[in-house]
Amino acid sequence: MFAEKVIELLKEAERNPDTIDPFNDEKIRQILEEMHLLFKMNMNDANATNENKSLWTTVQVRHSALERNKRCLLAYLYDRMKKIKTLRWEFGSVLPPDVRELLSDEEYQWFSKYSTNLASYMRSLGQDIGYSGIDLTENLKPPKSLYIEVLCMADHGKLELEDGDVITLKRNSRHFLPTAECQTLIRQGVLKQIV
Amino acid sequence: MDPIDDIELSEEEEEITAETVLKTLQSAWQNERLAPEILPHHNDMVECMLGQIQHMERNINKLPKTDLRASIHKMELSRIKFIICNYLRTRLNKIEKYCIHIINEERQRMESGTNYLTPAEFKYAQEYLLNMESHLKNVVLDKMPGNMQTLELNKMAIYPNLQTHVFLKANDTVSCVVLEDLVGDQDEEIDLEEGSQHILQYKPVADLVKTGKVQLV
Amino acid sequence: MSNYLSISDILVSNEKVPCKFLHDLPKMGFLDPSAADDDLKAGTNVEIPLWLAESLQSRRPPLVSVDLPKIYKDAYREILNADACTVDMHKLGQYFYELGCYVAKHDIKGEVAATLENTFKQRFRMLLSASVSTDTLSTMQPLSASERKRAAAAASSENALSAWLQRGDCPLTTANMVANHRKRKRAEMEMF
Repeated sequence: MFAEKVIELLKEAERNPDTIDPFNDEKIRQILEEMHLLFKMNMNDANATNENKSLWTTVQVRHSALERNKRCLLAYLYDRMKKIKTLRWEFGSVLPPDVRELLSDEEYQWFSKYSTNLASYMRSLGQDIGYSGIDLTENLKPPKSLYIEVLCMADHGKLELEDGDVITLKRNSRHFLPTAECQTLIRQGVLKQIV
Repeated sequence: MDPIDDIELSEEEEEITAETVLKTLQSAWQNERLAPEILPHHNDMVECMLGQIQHMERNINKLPKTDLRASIHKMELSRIKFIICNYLRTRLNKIEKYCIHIINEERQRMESGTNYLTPAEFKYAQEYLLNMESHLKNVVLDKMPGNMQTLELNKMAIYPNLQTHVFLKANDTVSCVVLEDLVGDQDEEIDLEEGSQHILQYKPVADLVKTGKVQLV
Repeated sequence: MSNYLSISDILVSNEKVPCKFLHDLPKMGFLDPSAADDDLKAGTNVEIPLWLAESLQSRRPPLVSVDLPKIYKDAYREILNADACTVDMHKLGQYFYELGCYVAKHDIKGEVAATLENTFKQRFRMLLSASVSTDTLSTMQPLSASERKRAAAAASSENALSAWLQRGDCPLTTANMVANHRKRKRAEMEMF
């Protein structure tokens, strides 16, 4: 049957909606190969339709299969782009190496372009009134208190607070910090709120 | 010290209070969260509020750290910041999702001067679409057989579902809202009384949301 | 065509529907697994994916006529109309509603649409009562794909609501994808 490989590719993506799988180079190459084969067969048969009229219907069937493969490949890339966007919002503009590895070179380029575009939009916010922009990746949840107690999950090093104090984030250390200054670290999994 | 004091927009314009600005922003945020499509922007309100935040921050810093008032004002500020961020983020999500559709519509709206996006948002949308196009082309389209290489933006466009139902409250009395009957041809007309609440399809009330006659809740 | 990039719509349109080919198709014998010929003869009945069926049927003249999959036919419709809650949707119709919306137009009598609506109403009540109590989901007849999503969504909003009612608080947490990638990395490390 036509366009079956591409379905395997999509089922894979559907199975893991919350993680991104390694970019499947090999399968994409095979699908493109299938498309070129279909196209070649169609060229040949289209030229032979003078002798055998019913070949024309065969050509149409293959054409549908080509369109199908195209749609599925685009959907695969689009789905990954959506996930890569999530990576930007959740990890920030610098990806950990093990996550970066899952993207193809082109995808990493797309990630950087997305990130740049987002950054320049955020910088433009309030520029007219002399404001230096807003980081929209902060303030994701409605604030409940100014300070929270957090547990450090990894050795992160020094953190300078807005008031000038410097604290060292060591694994398993506990801190009482301004919510605004630790929410990004919480989302990145470095700190954990103690409730 | 009172950080929420009145602000002046300009000499000629009416003076509006920070409270009014916050209220307008809050209802714009609520509408944006609940409406399926992108709504006209409220950039003036956002900027006004940002200016106010700056002003308040400066005042708070003058207070001693331990002053209770400082904490209360800081809390108030972070709530306002949350609203602004969430409002802008909601718009950004819609812009990305309905990108192709929004850009097409916006071009027409710009001609008549009734644009929904801020210039920065429009620039962001264009850049976003451009990046997406070139990614799809580089990775697969250019490697496909000749007759499969075109990027069919019309096919790819995603549209907001205007037929979805919304909860709303009428700010003013509105008469003769036409509810289309999708299956038959029995259109229905209803009146919305001031202060009354309804569950209706979004489409017939879309314009009322944009003009502020109704508020989504 | 706003579903062009939707993976779930692509998977729905991958479901097979019975079709009758109206013209000879040279070299397409492989579409019919029971035939050994190279060519597919006009009049052959074959099950093909919905996307192919729709595309061939829309040609002028149409190349196939599309029939209803058996779950939308009289026998099953009677069962569904009598008591839809007893049907194993996982086995019989992963995409019962979604596929139904597509094939309803091939049903001249228009009964499929009514069955879909009726089935949805019956099963929705079942889902609703199941999602407010915690343990009944597993005791029900297996669900279709979209029903499972809906049930999970209902359960998680129910949980969020009760958490909020209890504490009126929503603690800050690690971002979803960050947490999941960590978990996966840990699982991979443990394997080696």
